[in-house]
Amino acid sequence: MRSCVRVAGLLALLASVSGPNALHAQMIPQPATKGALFEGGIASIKVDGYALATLTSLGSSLWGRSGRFAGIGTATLARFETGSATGYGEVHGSFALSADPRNISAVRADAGAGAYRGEASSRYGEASLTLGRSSTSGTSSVWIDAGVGSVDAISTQNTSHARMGVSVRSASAMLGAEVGTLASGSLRYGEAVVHAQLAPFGTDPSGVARLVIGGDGGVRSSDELEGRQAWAMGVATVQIVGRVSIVGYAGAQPADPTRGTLGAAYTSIGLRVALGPSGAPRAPPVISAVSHGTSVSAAADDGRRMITVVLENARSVEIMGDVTSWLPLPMTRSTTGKWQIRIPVAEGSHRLEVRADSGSWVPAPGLPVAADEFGGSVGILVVQ
Amino acid sequence: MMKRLLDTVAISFAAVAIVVGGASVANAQGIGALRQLDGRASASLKAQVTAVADSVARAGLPVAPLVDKTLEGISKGADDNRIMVAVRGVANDLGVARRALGPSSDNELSAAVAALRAGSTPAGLTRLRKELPGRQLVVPLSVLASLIVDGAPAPSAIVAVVANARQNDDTGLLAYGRSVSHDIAGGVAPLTAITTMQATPNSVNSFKPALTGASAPLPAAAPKPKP
Repeated sequence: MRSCVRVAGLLALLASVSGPNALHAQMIPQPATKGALFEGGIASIKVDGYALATLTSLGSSLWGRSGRFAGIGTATLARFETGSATGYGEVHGSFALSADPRNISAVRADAGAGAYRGEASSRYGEASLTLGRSSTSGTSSVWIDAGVGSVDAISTQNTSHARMGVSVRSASAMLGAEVGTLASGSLRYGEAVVHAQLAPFGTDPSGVARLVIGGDGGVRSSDELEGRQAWAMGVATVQIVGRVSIVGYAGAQPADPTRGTLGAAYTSIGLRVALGPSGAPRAPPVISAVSHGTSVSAAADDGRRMITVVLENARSVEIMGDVTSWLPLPMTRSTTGKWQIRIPVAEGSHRLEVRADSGSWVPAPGLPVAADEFGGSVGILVVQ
Repeated sequence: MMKRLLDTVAISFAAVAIVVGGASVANAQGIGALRQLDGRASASLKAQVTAVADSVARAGLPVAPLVDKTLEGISKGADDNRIMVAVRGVANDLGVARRALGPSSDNELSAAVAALRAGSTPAGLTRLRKELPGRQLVVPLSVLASLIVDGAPAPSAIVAVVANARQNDDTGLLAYGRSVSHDIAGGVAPLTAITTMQATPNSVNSFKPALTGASAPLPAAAPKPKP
């Protein structure tokens, strides 16, 4: 039984690191409406200081977003060198409390289960409430989270937790920190964790990061743990071609009583296939309220002008207005990261909208916004 | 007498030729603009817009704003009835703008329609024409529209545009408009923004009285909510 728990815990560990971190993914909404990850590799795992196993694993992660609902599912299958096979899966669902993208408050439901040799080894379920808000530009956010749940590993235990965190991010980097407490049965502990990711070379047109270097680290303190426990995990992802990347993990992860998983040290290397944007810390494309977000150059000899739009975290931008005969035209990202298009624009007042990543059309950023005659709004661009 | 009769006939023929020729040009421009509706508007919608465009063209007004509004409505998925309400509104505003501004270029009329739609009054347009004689009003009218859209009271916006336009060319006037938008986006009440900042190319943050001949102070308009 104990070995079953250990194995289930190891699988949960693998599931947690081979797919997007569940809480993280929900705090930082995925830029696309859906995506998938598949990873296969080899891992060497130590538990309690002893080399336990080398195993091959195949993990998958699927996520989707529809309106204010978001969901993530992960599953991992592993085969030990002894020939035993195990499986572990998790599902996470959230419902945003507001349609305002700056409001990241949500109710969440999480559940997971593991099996060893076909027998159920662990189950957990949790419900939580997150209240949070991001800045208007989406580059920073703060949140608090609290929840209760139940874990059935060695025995059934009720769990409760409370956490709070902050994060800042840019197009190529993310830094987050959180503190929290947890109670599971008789275990109580406090914890501080730091997350960091860097994607210095951005993403390719399909949204796959060319290189990601990141890691998590934390300190946990409780009486049962005999003082402080420190842990750290590093990850590196290198794009090989298209959607295929090499991914490597090394480090340690602490036990998670809410999921009935054990802490372990490990190293692994594998191949990842990403069907959808992945890897780089990304925020949803944000229509910034920063003034001068849209500008237009002087007319060239052929009458064309360069319209420039400043829009962070977008993979594609289209523009539409009376200057395009209300047909959407794609903009091109310049070397400075701004989106541009060169088209004829006459002197005067023009109505202009943009959309990012095939999202909703909104007034071009930084322009005065007027109500249109069709129940929406439009940006007003004045051209000399 | 015969010579006078012949002169009268010749003049009459010339006048008819001018009228006919003018109508032909207007129709050609209108046809060119209306062609943008091919493949995008339903036959019924195009027929209705064409009917309105014909009357607009006969009045010597530009047809392009009607087509722009039609295409905007189509792109936003509006039904034909709603589009036609908007198109007729634009047609009406074109006539109002012409009467307020007098003889004007098509671009001036389009900018004036934008100002009217934003909330300017015809009297405000007339004041701009009167206070800025001999000046192309495309940029002043456009800046006026943007100020009103940003939440500035129309009368104060008109005064501010006139005051700035007297001191600055179109480049300076545009810079002023952008500075005001920036301030309003930053939370400054619109009336405060237009009355306490006067932008120049070299001193965006200089504080000078911007109102000339202002009427009694008006209550500040509620700032526009940020997108």
